Amino acid sequence: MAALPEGDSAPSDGRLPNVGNLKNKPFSLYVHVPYCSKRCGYCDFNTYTPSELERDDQIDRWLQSAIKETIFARKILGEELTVDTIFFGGGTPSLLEASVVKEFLNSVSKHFTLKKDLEITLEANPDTITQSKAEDWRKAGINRISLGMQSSAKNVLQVLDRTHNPANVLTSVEILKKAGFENFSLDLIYGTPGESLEDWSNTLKDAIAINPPHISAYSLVIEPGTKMGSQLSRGEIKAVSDDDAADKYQLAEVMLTENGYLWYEISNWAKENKECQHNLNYWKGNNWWGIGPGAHSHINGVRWWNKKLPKNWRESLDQDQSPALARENLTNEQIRNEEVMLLSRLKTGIDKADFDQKNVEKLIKDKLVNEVSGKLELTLEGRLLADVVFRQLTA
Amino acid sequence: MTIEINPAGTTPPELIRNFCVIAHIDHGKSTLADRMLQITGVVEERNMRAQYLDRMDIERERGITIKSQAVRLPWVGLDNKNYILNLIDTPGHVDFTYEVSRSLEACEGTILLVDAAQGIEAQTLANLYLALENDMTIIPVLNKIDLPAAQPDKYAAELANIVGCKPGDVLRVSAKTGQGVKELLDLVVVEVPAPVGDANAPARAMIFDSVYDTYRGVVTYVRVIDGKLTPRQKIKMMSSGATHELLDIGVISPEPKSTKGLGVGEVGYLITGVKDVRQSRVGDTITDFVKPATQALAGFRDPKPMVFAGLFPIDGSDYPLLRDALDKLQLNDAALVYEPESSVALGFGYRCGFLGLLHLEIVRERLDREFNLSLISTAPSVGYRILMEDGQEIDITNPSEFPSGKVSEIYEPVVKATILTPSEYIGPVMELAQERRGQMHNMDYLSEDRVELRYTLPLAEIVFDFFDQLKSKTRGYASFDYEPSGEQVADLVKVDILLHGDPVDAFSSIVHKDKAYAYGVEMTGRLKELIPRQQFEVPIQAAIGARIIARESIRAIRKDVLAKCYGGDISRKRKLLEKQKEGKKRMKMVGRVEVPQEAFVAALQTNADSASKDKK
Repeated sequence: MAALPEGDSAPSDGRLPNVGNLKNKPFSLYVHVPYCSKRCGYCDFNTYTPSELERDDQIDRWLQSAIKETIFARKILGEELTVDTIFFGGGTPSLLEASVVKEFLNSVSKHFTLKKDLEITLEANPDTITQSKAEDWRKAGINRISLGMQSSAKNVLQVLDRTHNPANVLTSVEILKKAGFENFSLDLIYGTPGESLEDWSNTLKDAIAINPPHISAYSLVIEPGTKMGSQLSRGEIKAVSDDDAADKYQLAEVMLTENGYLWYEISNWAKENKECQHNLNYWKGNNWWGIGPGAHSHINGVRWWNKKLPKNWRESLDQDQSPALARENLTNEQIRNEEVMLLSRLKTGIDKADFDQKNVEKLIKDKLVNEVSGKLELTLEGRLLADVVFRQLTA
Repeated sequence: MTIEINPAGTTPPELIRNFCVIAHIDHGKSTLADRMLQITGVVEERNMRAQYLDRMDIERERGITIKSQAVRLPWVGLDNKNYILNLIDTPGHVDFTYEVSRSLEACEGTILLVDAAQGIEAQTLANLYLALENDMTIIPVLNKIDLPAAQPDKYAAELANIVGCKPGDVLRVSAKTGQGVKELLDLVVVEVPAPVGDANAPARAMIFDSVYDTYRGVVTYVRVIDGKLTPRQKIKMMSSGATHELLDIGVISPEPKSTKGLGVGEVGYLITGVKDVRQSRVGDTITDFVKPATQALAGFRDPKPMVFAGLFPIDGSDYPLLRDALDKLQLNDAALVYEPESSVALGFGYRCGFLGLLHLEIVRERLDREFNLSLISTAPSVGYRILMEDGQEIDITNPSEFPSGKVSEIYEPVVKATILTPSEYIGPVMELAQERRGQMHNMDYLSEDRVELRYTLPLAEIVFDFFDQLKSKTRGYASFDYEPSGEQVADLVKVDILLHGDPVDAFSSIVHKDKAYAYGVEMTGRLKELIPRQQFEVPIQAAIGARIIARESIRAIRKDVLAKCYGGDISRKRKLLEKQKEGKKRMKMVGRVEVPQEAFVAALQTNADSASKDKK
């Protein structure tokens, strides 16, 4: 499981330093549901299977603490903010009963103002979707599903330790459409050890055939401490070369573009106006509160992250204390670095005028960025070398 | 027990015995010295510590003596007379052959100390030959006879064979338990001749060691040949003509003790207030300023550096610290030479000259330990004399000085090497020596199963991993020693390593023509693994002049981006990028290619590490 960043200690009362006006940017909620019936081999998120948790921290006890943190957030923020987007991530949020989702969203609406027609996304595992559950989610207010398809190659799913049958994806999409979900994303992973270029091409074809409004495609990163990390260090699986990953990225770009999907962030493509608003809020440096164990928050230059263990998170909230483990008060330079790092990942780009023009010229000459009406936009090569671009821009 | 003795300066030469001990590392020389200090009563039991005379931590840890020292021991001989035994410690390594020769010069006799479980080693043999050349009395001694693995009969026969005595004449001692040490001291009195000199002649004393002391300045160790030295006397160094006043003069027993002077045959220290050992050089003759001797003692020479390497601070801002540290080390190390050097790959540093590989290693270790400097060293190289076609002659100590014009002949330094090996490994040893362009001179069986091989080898061929190779081919049983032996013409070329067309100075090397290709393939291959991919393809070439002899290429990087960057990833990702940015500041630019310093360090370390083990 990925370690949390290092930071300063967070005050137990959760009080923020003077962060200024909170209403000048959109505010989102991230909701972490840290439960999985089984952990996938590559997963380094903060997730737990039932046997790893005490009775009081099982999924059916999650709601109570989640509501407590919602109320705590309201208290700390000091005003009733308008919520721009909500995103249930995990873990496997689709394990939540629809009634739990509903009750949680009700509580949010009591303490915050919900923007009209706000985007509410729920990450779902194709195995956990049933018709009645989907309909109840929809009724509870969920209007976007992020479906973990990963791959349509059985051998790849097996290496990833995913339990679902590729055929379930199609069934799930049928169910979702029938339940009224027009907006959904298929989330893909490429670069799994053993995946051929043809496997990836087939996955893309299958995903495109489903015709989702949104597709994300991530290059697999095998983190130390995961099951695959151990397999890698034992030599049971072989790391995929960067060149292979680059080939697959370019294939994705070609196939997705041909089929009407436009990249709007390095790993995300969407049909017109179907971009994920919640994720865009992260990349634009907007504010959000992360509810749940290990969840991260950002409010006007202050970042913090919650205690990872559900028990520790719950106990803090039971004592009306902040569940935060540590926080960072960003300096202006750090804020600027984040801005460059995040905005440059977007198709909409970043203002050219704000940089040393010598650095910019070099990037243009190396064909890593283009200038589009005063903005710098990554080229296809540049998207694969975004970290190079960042270092060059901030040099 | 305290023995009534003549105070220093008044001991008649016939009651003086000056001797030293020749031994291999770990054969027990320091332990023997400890035991002698105890038995003669100069160190009381309660003040005793192991390896009493070894001053530097490095000496104690590595069990080697870098600088010699002399200690005055009172001893009642079998004839009941009160003798003075001066034990002059000798440096234990070939790099210090010249210093060894001066220490030997200060004595009339030497104890040849050999481990009864291991037999004689190459280095001991080399020093023994030096002693024999000096016509010294040799007392063969087997040490560690208390060890269960000792084979005193076998090695007594071997020693007898080498020294030319009877096996029964080889004394058997245990420095550890003290067994036989009394008998040894008695034997020194009987066997070692008393010093001879003219008490009425103008003073002549030979410097056999010179040590810098923070509080007292340079402490010079001398052996008086003729005349007498007294406090406040004005003295002259005969090689330089420099004059000094003797602020203090005395003997070591085992702590320094001022005396009224030093007479014929006596050994002691003197202090003149100079701050730099180069003003008081080993081998030089000290005489009286007012009534000087006309003839200096024979044998003085300037120690010449034989092995060269660039030392660069890993952190460039440590450069001034490195300079200060070298300045300080030089106060105590007349053989260390250095001059500023700058390298594209490694920044600013110093090109240093050393007596040999151990000397290099010791300097590096002292810089690390005493001055806390992290250094990277270029591969050690040797000096060359180059004759140009236009008749010009050039001496170079750095491959970067290799001339670009037409070369007529290149001379490389060679050494006479002694290798001792169990006879079953003769084949592999000969193969190795041949591979390193060695010429065999002779092969002697020291005993049934031990062989001495003598070779002439190019020095450049042993500064790399020769010793490691020798050890691995003989399961660690072979020992090796060498001494400089002039130069020879050789078919040498300079191989440059080019990164994207630009030479990387730190990797240029002068190698034999037959080995140029192998060096080129090895270095280009190694750099290919170490240098990160760039935004463009980077050819790595090895070249002799304009001719490319090996080539690798680093393909352009295509991916350097983190796929995922969501809310929980931002802090970590920002920190990662900031760290990369910091790392980039430490990148060295070779033309357009960015190379992390660690890559250079790693590429050089593979060389340097194997070379640095090439010692003992």
